[in-house]
Amino acid sequence: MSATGIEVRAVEKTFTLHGQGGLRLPVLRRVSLTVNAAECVVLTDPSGAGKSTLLRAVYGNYVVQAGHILVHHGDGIVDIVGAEPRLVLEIRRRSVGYVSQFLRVIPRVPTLEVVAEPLQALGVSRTMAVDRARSMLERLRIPERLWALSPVTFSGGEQQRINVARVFVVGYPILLLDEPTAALDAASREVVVELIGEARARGAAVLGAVHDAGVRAAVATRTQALADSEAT
Amino acid sequence: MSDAGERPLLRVRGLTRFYGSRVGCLDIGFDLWPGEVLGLVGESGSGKTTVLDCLSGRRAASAGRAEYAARDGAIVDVLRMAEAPRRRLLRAEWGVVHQNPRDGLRMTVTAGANVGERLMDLGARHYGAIRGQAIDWLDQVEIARDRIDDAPESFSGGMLQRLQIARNLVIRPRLVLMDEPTGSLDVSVQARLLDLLRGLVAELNLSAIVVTHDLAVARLLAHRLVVIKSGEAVETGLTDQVLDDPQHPYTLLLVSSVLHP
Repeated sequence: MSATGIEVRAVEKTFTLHGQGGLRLPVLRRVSLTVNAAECVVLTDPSGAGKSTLLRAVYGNYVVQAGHILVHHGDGIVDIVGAEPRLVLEIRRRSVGYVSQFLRVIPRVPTLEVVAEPLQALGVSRTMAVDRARSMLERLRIPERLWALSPVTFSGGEQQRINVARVFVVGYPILLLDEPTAALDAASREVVVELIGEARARGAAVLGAVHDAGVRAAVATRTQALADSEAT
Repeated sequence: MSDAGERPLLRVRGLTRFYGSRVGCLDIGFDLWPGEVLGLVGESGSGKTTVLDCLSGRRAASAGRAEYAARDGAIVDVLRMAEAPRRRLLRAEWGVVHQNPRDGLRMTVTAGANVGERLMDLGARHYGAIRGQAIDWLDQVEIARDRIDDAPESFSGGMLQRLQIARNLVIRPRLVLMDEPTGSLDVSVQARLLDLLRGLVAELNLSAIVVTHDLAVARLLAHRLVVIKSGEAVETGLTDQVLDDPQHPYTLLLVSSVLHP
């Protein structure tokens, strides 16, 4: 599977609500799907069907009860399910980028640093990391006067663009996108569509949840419903 | 992976401490890898500070081992070492950051001496070089150079904590133990200190064990968490996974009890 970026095999995820009498909520029922290099697979299920849960599971943020999540990492294939925490961190540093719906950063760290940080963590020199962060922020139309400020107080749309910037600045071979354009105006949406296209062009495997029909049509090479991928 | 043959900096197994018949901590085990920050989280009285105190030698462990891979390559059990060599080793290779900076500083000597004397402990004798390094470290922790000859008594809580960090890091420790490092500070000062700590940990490739009851601090500082309840580890894993998808009812309770402004 050298051309495969992500392979999800029969993944099951159930949430147990301990506070509420141990109520069990099955969310993913033996979900399987594959995302190849240079593909952008968009999940089409309605809200609440588990799209974000699957993306988080692939990122190692959620624990699944069964199945395998194989991702291409370095020269090989790694199973995220059951992987040691420090391996997951290494995979996140080098191989898998995740645009979440929420920005989570240390208060008071300037935007430019927030965006340059993932590159520096990869060993890119500070000068080059900051250079690339600047161009990415420009491209995403974040006004330069905001770069020295912490994004904590930014608007939803600005925060989302910071999230996009700090992921796309790296050039990960695998991208997980959770509604990356939900809070954006048309012009910024267009930039994100271009960035996804460029990522595919360099061979990235992209898995996303995208509600917006226009964006979906522009980026998806294939759509898939989790409901259809569930084995019975 | 590049880790073939690599070993943890610290391997703790079965760490137990009784207070009379009461459990302080019971059968705690974890590996700490070079460059890793491990968070010990739980409520007050859960036993997380007991774990830290046993490792730093402040309290004796009742059972267990803690194998540390020293700079010279030797593997030593810091719970069972003789007192003198243990003190020597810790002074040269470990740092301990206390919640109350007054417990980790000498309040009667100047800021510069607080930083410089750690170097003198390790044999440094050249006054100019020691002072130079002390100034460098005050810069690193954002304390104005012209405060070098002031007594810490005149410092704010945030400055004291930063000075305590400088005093610990000046010897380039390989392992730092921190007990609620931001616990005594105002929130605005906390954020700055967290950012500083995170930067230093990454830059110096430090390994650290951070005890905190503050899950937001744990999220921002720690790579991995051990959740401790009534002296026992109930859950362990990647920090964001433990906080976003807790598996143990106690962790879920902790996470869902946090107030969001």
